[in-house]
Amino acid sequence: MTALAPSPDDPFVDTVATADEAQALGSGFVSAVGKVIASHVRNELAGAAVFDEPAIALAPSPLDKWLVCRIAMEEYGHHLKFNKLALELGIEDPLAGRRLSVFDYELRTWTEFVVLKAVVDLAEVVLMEELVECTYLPLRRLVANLLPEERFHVSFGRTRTKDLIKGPGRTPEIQEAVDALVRFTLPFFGRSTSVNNDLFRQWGIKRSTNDESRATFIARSRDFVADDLGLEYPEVSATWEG
Amino acid sequence: MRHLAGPRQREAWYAVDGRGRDLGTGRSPEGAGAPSAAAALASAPVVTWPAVAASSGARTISVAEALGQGGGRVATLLHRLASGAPAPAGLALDELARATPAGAVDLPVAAFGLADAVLAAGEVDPDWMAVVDERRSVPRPLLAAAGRTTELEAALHLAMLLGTRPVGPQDGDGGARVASGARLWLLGAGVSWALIEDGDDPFAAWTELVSYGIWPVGPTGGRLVVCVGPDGE
Repeated sequence: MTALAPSPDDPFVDTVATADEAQALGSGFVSAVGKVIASHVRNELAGAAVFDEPAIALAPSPLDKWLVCRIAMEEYGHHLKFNKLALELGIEDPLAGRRLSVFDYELRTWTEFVVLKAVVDLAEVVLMEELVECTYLPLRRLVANLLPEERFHVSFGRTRTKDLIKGPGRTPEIQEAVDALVRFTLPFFGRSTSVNNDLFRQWGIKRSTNDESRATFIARSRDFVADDLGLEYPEVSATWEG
Repeated sequence: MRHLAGPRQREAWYAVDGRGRDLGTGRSPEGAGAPSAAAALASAPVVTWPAVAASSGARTISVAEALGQGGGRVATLLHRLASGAPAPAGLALDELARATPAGAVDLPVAAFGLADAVLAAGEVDPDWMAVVDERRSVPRPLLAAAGRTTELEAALHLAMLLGTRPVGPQDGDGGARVASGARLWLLGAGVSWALIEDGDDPFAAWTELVSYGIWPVGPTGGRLVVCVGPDGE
């Protein structure tokens, strides 16, 4: 294992198979991968509690109600699986940090919820795809297992949004939700200048800068909003300094 | 077990398996632990069955004990979910199905496969559904007023972990997820009602069906539809 003084431009490229190997590699690696895992522990729980569970009551039909029950459990399950990874790595309290600001969005309607699944969950997919080749193999395996469910959540949001927009007079409401949620989601990827992101790239946990991930999200969500829905995509920037 | 509590320290609790290993790590329990047996069970990232709660003071208690009143009923339900046992041959399916959470429904019972059940579910009587929804929410404030929120969270947490089965990527239209979500929706209500030990538990009959992997759908199209088969599929 070669681990001497990696940097974002010359990152660590070996793989780390177990928590014990991570500990043996040193606190730098454990700290970097631990921050990424803890962030997912907090945010998967927040998503289930703040968005998915309340949406069960907003669902307009039994089928949607039950589908959202399942989605809420899948998100809660993701929280638990990341939490197990955190425990194995010896992270004492992964829930201690602040959850992301997107979870401050006040969900009021079913329309907002389905747009949220299409937009906010896409951001989660972009972040998880970034981890599919990370150097910590337990994390790599976990995200590979979870991605199909996250993609289903995005697909659910897209399908329902496309169904809604066919209804008479629904376009303004959906445009408003898109405008708000895209803007709320951009900070999800972190600041343009980020010590943490440097650390993540240094240890091969991530490969993209925060702005590169944000740009990927903008491109993919723009395709959905403009091409699939025929709506205006809000004027946004791929940079964000908080 | 490391970090044993000293005489002036609080007793710390951990969720462990039958061999005393922490459910989260598979190792001997360590760290701060939880302030109660129920809190430890509520925060276990995975569950194997039977799970128990062990303390830094060398006490071990069952899930039924940790949940308090009604814990025995919940433990029986969890055991069925964990074992994946099929319904016994003599199960009174029609009788149980007609005892819906919204009251008795005197319609012919129709046993469907997953695809037909999901189609039928789209037409479930909304008035009936509203009553079920209302009754689902009855136990939580009662348990909160009794200071048993942690026990409720533990019971729900264990039931959801043991009752959520994987859905494969072939579930393109979400049918298996609908069935799974519906079962979880009913299971949450069943567990909550079990904890208040109300003799008139409106979810008792349907919770029994759900515990055997059956999805009672509801009144739709002049029938009372039940989805039978493994996991309601």
